[in-house]
Amino acid sequence: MRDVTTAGFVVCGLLLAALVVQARIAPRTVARLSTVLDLVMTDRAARFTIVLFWWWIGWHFLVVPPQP
Amino acid sequence: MAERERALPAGRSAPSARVLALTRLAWVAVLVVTAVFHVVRGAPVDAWIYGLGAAVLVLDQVGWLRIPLRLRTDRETLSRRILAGVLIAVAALTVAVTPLYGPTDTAIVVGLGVLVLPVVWADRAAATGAPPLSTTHALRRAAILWSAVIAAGCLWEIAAFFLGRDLPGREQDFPALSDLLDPVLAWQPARGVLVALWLLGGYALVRRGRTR
Repeated sequence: MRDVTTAGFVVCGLLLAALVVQARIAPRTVARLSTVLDLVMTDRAARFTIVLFWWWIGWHFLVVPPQP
Repeated sequence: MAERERALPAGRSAPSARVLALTRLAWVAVLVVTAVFHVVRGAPVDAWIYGLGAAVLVLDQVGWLRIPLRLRTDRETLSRRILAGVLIAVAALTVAVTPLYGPTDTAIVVGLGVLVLPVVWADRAAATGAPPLSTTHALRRAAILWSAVIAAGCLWEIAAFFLGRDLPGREQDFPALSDLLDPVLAWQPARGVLVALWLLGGYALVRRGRTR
C-alpha cells in the first residue's frame, strides 16, 4: 500500500511535468505557467496566498522537526 | 485595496467588483481551509500562519489595512540576477552544512519571509501590454489543468494523512509527502539542492505579476 501512496505523489509530479512540456511544445493550447501566474498574481490576494504557500514549504521542511 | 482596479492587461475588460471580491474571498477560503487542516493535524503554529494570512487579506479587502508600498517597474538587470543567484547559492550551501531544524535554518526562513513580504504586498504598476486574445483559451485551460493537478495532490496528501492516522499500525502504508522527503533532506547534498530549487522557485514567483 505504501507503494500506491507514493505512486500517487509521483503521478501528480509527472502530470505537472507534462503540463510544463505541453506548454513548451504548444503554448497556444496550454499556456505556460509563467503566463498564467503573471495574470493571476497581478492581484495582491493571489500573490500573497501563493507566496505564503511557497514560504511555508521552507518553514515546514527546514524549521519544524517531523512529529513523532 | 489600492490596487483594486489596477494591473489588468490593457484591452481586457476589467472584472466587476463582485467578481474581484469573490475571487479574493476564494483565496481567503483557501487559507482558512489550510489553517483548519493544520489544527486537525495538530500543528498550531502552522494553523496560526495561515489563519493570520487569511485575517490580513480580509482586513485588506475591507479597507482596514493600508500599507502604502509600491513596486518600481524598472526591468530586472543582470547585476540583480547575479546578486540573487549568489544569495541563493550561499543560502543553500549554508542550510546544507548546518544542522537541519537548527537556528540557522530558522533565521534564513524567517528572514526570507520578512524580506519577501513587502515585495509581495506592494502595489504593481498598471500593465501597458495585453496578451493576445487568442491566448485566452490557452490561459484558461492551463489554469484549470494546473489547479486540478495541484488540488488532486493536496487531496491525496490529506487522504494519506487521515488513513495513516485512523488505521492503527498502518501509518507506514500511508506516508505523507513530508514523510517521503524527510530522509532525502537528512542527506546534506540533497538538502542543498532542494533548498536551492525552493529558493529559485520563490525568486521566480516574486517576479511574477509584474508588467514587462
